[in-house]
Amino acid sequence: MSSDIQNIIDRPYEYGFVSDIESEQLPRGINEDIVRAISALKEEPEWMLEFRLKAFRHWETMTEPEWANVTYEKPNFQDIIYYSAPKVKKKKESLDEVDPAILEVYEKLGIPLHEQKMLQNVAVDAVFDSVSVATTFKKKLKDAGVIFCSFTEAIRDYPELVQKYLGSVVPHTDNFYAALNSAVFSDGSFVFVPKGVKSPMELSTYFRINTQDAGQFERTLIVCEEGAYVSYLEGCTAPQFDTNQLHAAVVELVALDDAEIKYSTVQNWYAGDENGKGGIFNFVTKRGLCEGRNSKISWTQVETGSAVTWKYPSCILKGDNSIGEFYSVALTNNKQQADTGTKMVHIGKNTRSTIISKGISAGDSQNSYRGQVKINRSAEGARNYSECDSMLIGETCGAHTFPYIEVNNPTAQVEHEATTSRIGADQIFYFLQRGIDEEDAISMIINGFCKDVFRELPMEFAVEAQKLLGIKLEGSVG
Amino acid sequence: MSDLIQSLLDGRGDADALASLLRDGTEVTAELPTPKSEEWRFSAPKRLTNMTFGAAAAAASLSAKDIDAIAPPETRGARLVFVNGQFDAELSETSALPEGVGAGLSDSLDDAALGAVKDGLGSVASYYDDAFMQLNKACASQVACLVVPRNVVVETPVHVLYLSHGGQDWATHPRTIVVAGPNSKVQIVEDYRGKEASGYFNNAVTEVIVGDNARVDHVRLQREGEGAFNLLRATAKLGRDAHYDSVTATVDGDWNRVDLYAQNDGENTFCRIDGLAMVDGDRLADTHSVLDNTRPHCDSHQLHKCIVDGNGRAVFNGKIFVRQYAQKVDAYQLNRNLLLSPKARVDTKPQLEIFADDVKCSHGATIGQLDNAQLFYLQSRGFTPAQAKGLLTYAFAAEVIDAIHIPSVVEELEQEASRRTRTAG
Repeated sequence: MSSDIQNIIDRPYEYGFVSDIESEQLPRGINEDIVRAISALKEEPEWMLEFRLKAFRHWETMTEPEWANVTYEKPNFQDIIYYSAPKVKKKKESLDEVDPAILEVYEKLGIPLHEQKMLQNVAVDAVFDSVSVATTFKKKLKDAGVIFCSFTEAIRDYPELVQKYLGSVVPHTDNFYAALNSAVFSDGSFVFVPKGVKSPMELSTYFRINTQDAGQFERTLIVCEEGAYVSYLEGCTAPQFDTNQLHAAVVELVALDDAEIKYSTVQNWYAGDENGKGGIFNFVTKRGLCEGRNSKISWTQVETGSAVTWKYPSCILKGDNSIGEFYSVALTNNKQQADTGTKMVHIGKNTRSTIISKGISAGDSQNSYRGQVKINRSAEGARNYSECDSMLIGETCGAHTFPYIEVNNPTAQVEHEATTSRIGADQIFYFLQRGIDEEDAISMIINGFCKDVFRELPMEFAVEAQKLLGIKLEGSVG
Repeated sequence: MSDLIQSLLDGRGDADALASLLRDGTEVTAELPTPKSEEWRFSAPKRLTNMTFGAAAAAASLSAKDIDAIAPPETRGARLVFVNGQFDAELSETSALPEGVGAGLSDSLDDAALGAVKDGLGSVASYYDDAFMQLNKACASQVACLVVPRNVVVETPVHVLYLSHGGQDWATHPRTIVVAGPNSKVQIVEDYRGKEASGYFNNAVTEVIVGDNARVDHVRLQREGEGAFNLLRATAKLGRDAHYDSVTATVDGDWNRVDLYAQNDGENTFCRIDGLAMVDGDRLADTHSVLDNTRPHCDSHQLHKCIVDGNGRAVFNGKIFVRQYAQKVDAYQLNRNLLLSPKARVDTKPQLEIFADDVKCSHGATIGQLDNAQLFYLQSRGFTPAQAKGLLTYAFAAEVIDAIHIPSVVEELEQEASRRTRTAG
């Protein structure tokens, strides 16, 4: 491996700046008072507080899961700041009123809201630490009938919708981190697309963890009524700190008859330095429910960051003929560890699911695919195709595959395939003798390897994802 | 201590010299598995752990004719017969074995062979250390040994038969060790068979040590009786340039589980652990395998097929490990399952764990039913639906059976496959 190339791999985390914005935070630790305080700060109704307390009491009875193929020092849950909000001076009507310091942060991240408003047809709900600062394009969406707002606003303005769907896909009893999230989540996004409406633009949220020792617990709920369609994008970054930060989000999707939800993520949380110091623990529960007939939920994720990732976007295919899809690129380098994959639970008749997972591991990292395909007895004619490919770069990394396949119906057709490969010296040689330098060659090979997934990403995300992989990986083969 | 463990300890027989070595210092300290343990999630362990078993039934009088009727004719002159866990010298034959080959219990081995057995005993099977492994060590009363010295080629396949005959609700703990010296060659048929016995439990452990450049062909047959439980820990360790070719076929019995462990411990080895399970009724056939590639340039192959009918249940969990610096490994794993009835069930988990980058590893799993287009094609050629179904099912099984090198075993398994598919029609 040439030294130039090594330099590129070792390129420092570009988004690791801390912005000095006054923030309002609760004391460290968690107890019932903290949960009540979060609820009170957010001026929540009684039922919301009850939901939180129920979740908290359940969480106290649970222990942290240990089955994932990752090793890390467990976070001390009493040493985390559960609520940290930029100090709100008054309600904001437009972007101009947003704290210029915050806007500057986004500027550095390369998503200037002003520009986006002008140039891109994307509405952004930016979640800064835990509170939603600005939501753009609200009006245009409102005209179309689409509700896109922060979770806090949703609880205030659409309580009956939130009450109906909150926890319906990921109940507070689901797992340790989902319970914790249900108790302390501070904000998030809420999307509701009414019957027959196709969202006129792609919706997007940008998450960023700013305060040291803060946890980010956001909650996303997307509901598509009959025949509705929405495509939702989510991006994540965090500044560089020496300590580990916890990110435990919950995402719930509900698709009714003939509805379609497309959910894309580019995750680039801070991964820690090359010795594995610092970095985000990303423990996320994402699940979609295909409630109605012919509904469709599609997850696309590009996971490049976080010290430890533990994430399984899943689909419950309840409606007949419903479709679940999962496209994933997970890249780990240095000491990163990722245990990610999906669950497809087939309940309805003629349900179909596709899983394409590409894992790339480099440095000393460990990359695991863990997936479950479950065909219930009722799922007549179910079909699943899974493909999970791994690429290893270097001698000291690891790639692991744990596919669980459980079939209870003989009419099911389930296929699982997996391969492992590396970038061969002969491939590089071929590019070189065609006049393409090593960096470009590797970028092209990686992009080819991930093509099936990038194809599923919305345009601007695909470009960002390709660049991200390029930065993180170029030249790691010698 | 659970009732099962207590009953097994109470029912154990006296130990011979080698079995005493195993018993020394062995205590059953581990808990019995529950459905909550990851390795036993799908194995319905309660069916076994809720049982209790008594001491093994005394061997009924059997004649050489009875053995001839069930043993492959190719193995004449090379048979080790155990009836209800006890070695039967009358029924065993070793006349076809070349000089120097040690076969039988410890008292029939020369010093060199006994030394090799003592060195090897427990060295591979120690990978497992759960309650059943500890029970096998604590309760085994004899150890079946086969030692092939350096440079010796054994032409006649050796039949190691564990026959369960008569009685019910008893348990034995068969223990087998095969040591193939460097450059040697041997074929083994390891056979667990039930006859007029029911509800019994065989808690078996087998170790095969394949020396440098040696070749061992190994067929394991689980053909237990009605309501029988068979738990087989089949382990193998391969030296440099060794070749180990094994096929496991699970046919009858009520609750069958094979834990396969193969360790490529030298460079440039070849290891095959293929398997075929045919289950119907309420039977369970479970295969958990571990293929551990610790050295570079190893080649491994695993094709595991299950045909599930009735209320049957098949489980497969295949792990392939490629250790760090074990470069140029070529590992292949495919699990294919055929579901023939609406209540059949399959749980599969082909698992890869790779710590080296210059390797070729692929795994796959498929679950499906017979292809309607193929059925239609055969019917258009004049086959009845039942025949067509039988032919396709038989062809599905044949891919595994064909890897076996002993003609009479191949024929018997083929008949078994077609017998099954006739009823499936």
